[in-house]
Amino acid sequence: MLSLLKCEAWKLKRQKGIAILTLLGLLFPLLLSLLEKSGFSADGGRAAFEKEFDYIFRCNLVYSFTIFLPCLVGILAAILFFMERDCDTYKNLRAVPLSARQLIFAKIGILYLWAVVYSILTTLATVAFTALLGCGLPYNLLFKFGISVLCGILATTASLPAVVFVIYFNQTYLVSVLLSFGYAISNWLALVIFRGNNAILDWLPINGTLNWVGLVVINREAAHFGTAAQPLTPQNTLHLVVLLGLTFAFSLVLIIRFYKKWAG
Amino acid sequence: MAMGKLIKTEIWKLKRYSVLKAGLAMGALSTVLAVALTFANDGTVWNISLFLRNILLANCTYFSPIIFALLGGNFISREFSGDTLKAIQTIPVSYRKLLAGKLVVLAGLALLFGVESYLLGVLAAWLLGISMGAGPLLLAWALRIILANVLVAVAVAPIVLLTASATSASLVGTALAFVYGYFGNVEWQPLNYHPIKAILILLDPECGTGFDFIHYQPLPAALSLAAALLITCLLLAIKGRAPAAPRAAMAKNGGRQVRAKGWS
Repeated sequence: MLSLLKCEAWKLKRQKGIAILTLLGLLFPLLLSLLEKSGFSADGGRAAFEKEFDYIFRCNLVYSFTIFLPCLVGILAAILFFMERDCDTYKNLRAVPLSARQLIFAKIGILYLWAVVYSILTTLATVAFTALLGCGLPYNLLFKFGISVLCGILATTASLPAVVFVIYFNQTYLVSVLLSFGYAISNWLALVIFRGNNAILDWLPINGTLNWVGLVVINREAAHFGTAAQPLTPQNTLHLVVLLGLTFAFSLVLIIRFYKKWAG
Repeated sequence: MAMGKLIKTEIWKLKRYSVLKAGLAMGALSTVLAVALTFANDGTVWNISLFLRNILLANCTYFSPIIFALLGGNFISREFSGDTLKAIQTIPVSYRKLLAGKLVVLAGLALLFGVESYLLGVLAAWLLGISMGAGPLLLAWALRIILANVLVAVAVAPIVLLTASATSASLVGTALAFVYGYFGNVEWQPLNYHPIKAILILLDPECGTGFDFIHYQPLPAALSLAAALLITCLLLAIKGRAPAAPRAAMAKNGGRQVRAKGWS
């Protein structure tokens, strides 16, 4: 499997678009830092600067991870899963021999690896822009990078239904990509409609992920500043594990089924 | 070849692609979003202006930039992936003229999707029992929604031209268009020069109201849209010739084009 992952990563070297897609992760941190800078007052000492950074970091978790990442996962999946079809190389891979299932696992592995790179990059951009523009004081960076990588992995799992759409509508990029954007936007829409109703939001993969990560981050901040916060219970974590476990299992079954249907 | 004929042939091509169906389906999403928002339990008293305004906002900041970037990219990249560009060039039609024809068709589709959005919006509002208002009000909103869609196509055109020579590049363009459109949601004075925000400043009577620190001006907004149009014209002017061959194939052969051997 390691060799397969390596081969898939080599293939990506030819796809310049993926590097640019990853770099788009810089845009939201830049916008958020500029926005914060415009309304920033330098009063309040170190704690106020740290809180400003926390605010930008939390906003970036919402924008870069729960809105933008599912769209990018859909596009990346379209590039990854259509590569063999477009270049007519699937028959060569079958001759290795390589099963469709192995190929799917390798491609999903690449999706997760890419998500880790994207998470580190966008968090690095948040830290860099905040520090450069002087609109906050980055601190507790090990935790921030750790939770970002975890959020990237969880959001990728929550975005796997978009990958199912991509593979199901494999005839054309258009429908696949439009549906994966539709999936990301509909999650955002659910957040607006069911605002405050966590009983529903917690059962939607992307919103459930956002709520759990939000709780982890807020508790950490509360511990740092000595303030009170809604506690993170083991039930919250168990709920997310069940939700994303089911999302992963169902998505994987459907991806394998639809990909095999295409592969014949 | 006259531009009229070029546009006619582009419309014929549309029939063969699933573009129109996908675009129409996606164009309906703004109405779905507006309808969904009426179910949010936030005490809003709905009227036709509020309802159609949500359609205008959803079109400008969520759906239209993605749809137009994807459709425009698809129109152009299909000539490369389908290997039809060389046949078209023998007619002869210049690459610049071909691209201009495609952009005109894209603007026409934007108009069509605008009409669709408006009609679906009015129908949905009527079914939801929202008070309709007077005829001039409905006409004003029709003009706003349709014109906004055409202007979004103008604002997105530079992205389409910059990224449409390959499928993966056009997908990157779609992701970029998503962020570009999403920035239109943000209330920030410098966004007066952002073409998507400019459309809202010019056409949405409520844009920027309720914020005492924001004073949008229509003139810079109009200038930013004129700049987008100018950039499109400049890009068309420098795109006199189509890219000759994929770079990867060229590079392997020391920069020379790869020729097939023998009679094949």
